Amino acid sequence: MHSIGVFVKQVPDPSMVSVSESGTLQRDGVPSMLDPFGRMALMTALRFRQDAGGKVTAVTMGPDQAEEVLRRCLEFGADDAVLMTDRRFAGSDTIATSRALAALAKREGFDIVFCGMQATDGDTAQVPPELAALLGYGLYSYVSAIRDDGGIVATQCYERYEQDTVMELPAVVSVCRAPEGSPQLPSLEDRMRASAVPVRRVALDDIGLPDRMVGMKGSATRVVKVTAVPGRHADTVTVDGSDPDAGARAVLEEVGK
Amino acid sequence: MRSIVPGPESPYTIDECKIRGEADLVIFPENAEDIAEVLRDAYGKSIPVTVSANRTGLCGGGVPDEGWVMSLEGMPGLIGMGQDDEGYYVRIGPGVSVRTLTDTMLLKRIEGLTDLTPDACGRFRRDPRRFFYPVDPTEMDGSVCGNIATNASGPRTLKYGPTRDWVRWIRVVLPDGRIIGIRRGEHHAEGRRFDCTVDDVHLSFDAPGYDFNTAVKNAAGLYAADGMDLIDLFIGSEGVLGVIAEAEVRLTEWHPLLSVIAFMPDDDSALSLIDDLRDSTVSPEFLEYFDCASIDLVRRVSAGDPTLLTPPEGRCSAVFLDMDAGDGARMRDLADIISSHGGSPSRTWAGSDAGDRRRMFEFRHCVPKSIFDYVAGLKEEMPAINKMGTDMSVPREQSPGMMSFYREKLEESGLEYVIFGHMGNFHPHVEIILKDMADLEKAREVYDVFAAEAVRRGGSPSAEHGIGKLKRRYIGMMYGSGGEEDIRRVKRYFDPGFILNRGDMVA
Repeated sequence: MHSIGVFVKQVPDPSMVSVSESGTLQRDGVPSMLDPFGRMALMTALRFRQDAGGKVTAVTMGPDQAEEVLRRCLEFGADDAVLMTDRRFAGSDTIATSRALAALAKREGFDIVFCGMQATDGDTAQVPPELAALLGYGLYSYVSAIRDDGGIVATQCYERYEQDTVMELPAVVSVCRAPEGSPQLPSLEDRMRASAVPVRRVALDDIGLPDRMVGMKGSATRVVKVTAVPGRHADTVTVDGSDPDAGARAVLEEVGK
Repeated sequence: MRSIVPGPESPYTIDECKIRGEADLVIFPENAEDIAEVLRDAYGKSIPVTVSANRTGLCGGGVPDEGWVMSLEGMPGLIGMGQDDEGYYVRIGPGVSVRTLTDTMLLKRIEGLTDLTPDACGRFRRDPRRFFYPVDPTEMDGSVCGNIATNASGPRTLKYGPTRDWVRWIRVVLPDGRIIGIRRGEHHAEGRRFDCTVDDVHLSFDAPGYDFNTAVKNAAGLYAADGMDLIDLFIGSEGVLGVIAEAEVRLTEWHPLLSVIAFMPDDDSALSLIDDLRDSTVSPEFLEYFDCASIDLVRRVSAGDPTLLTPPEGRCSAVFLDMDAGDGARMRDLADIISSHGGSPSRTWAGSDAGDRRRMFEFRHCVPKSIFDYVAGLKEEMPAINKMGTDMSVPREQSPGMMSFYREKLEESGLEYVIFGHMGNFHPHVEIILKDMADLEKAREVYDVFAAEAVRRGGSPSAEHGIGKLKRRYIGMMYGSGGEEDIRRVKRYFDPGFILNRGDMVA
């Protein structure tokens, strides 16, 4: 039986976030939600379970209120949930986060881990490859669909082509689309079942990593400043094209300004 | 004061009923004193003034027949915040919509509001609880002051009552330009007789003699009852007695909600489920009904729009409700009740996440919106065609009979229709799907038969949309010619020249 991990993230609801005049995000009081890519990862994990069997464990790292997104994963059909919460995790950048998640994956014995290809707040897309490297697992990036075809076949989505790959486990899968036919909403039945499942809590000492590997101390990068990038504004210049040569010269003149 | 001459396509001479009016001038006051100046000027020149705010009305109340339009869109919005024994309240002007009020309070983004009581804003911000304005008129872009003038209600009236219940004070500019502040509880009628002084303005008149029907959801005519509060005369008066320039509305504590859509095998099982849920431990905040034809309509629309939720396969009706998300026992009770009426918890959507709930409300809104779009499409070929949707409520014991009456008359007429809406308050909307002008004629006849039947059964022909200019004939139907004359008498007392919102409620 497969032990299936899904790493998800709690992010501010983008429809409720506003940007101040100085360009910083105003998150105060903004409700949080399951990151949309994390949701796609969960749906793909549930489809994998349907095809290959196993138990799906949803995992997130964050403060107490991050439990909400795990509850949501349970409502959509996850079997189990782990909240990694410890003050010493606070301020982790992607590598420090990946160390903690990899240690948890080892402890739980996941043979396949699903992540969103990126999260909508940080947009780094660094955690899945870091996890794969730390765990020594194969990496299947940008997976848009999986199907049972003798073995589990993943469709990977690239800019100009799609590639079907027979997956070998153990593996880390980064997901860019939810499978077709995924549930639109939790059912009342799923919700009632989920309400009986406890969320397990895991602290730094439980995963056996030293302080210096996680949090601010374990981070290789630090955000110094966030600056809003002004939108590009271009004035439209209309050039008379009735005489093609004169028109071309006028265009060159404008471009050269 | 800014003013413009409206062109033929002006947004200020039309509202959501899509009937185009006419006006010579649109004036934009910025405070109560400006409103008073406009009204005094209009009075001197005997020019009718029609008040409009966000123009979301459905009965033409803000559509001018002649004269000037006074648009309140440039008036202040959120002004201040106070606290009394009953909790927090907010002072607002006509410039704020229901959506902005609700979102601002939920997110506590109250920078710039003044303290109406000591440190009210600071206390509100530090309070660990969250608060909201609970009246949900479905149309969230309407002005809150407009909602007060029309006593707006909506699905959540089941739990929270109409707008009236949430208003503690209003500042009214009377048609002659005098300004009065009316606080709830300060001025009551002796029987029907008002004889009181409000801010140096002496008022002495009789309220209408009829009893305003509060046993059902009702937005038809002036409020009237023995010993009534003066504030209630102005709330729901559709602006025919004065202009609401400021108001204070109460907030209530917010709690997480679970939205539920249960798909049921047929129309009757959905109706019987609603009847059972109304008095159950589930304690729903609203109960909305969709007949099978409504769900078929949503299915057709969602097939072309991947962002919309798709109903499950097979013919089904549905019941939509909101309930307290934190109570597992209630959820189990709900599942049992759904099952006992032939539904299934596995065929029931349950969302507490903000995004899920938003999509479920879009699903609900899809029914009226698709009918609206359909009719708008017909208008190109048939400019005189209108949306024909009912807005009638009846007492509980009359509800099954009224529903049978709707179906029987519609089947007889051969018209296509869907029935959906606020069955929690015995207030469904029957929407007739018109195909041509002959259908419109038939639908008008049927509509009047429905209105008379609703009144005969002790209900209201206008439960929430109000009277405006389009439904004036229902005032006589409800209150008789004596009651209609009573409204005219009160109107004449405040506005002898009938300059303010002329043609609304009574002619």
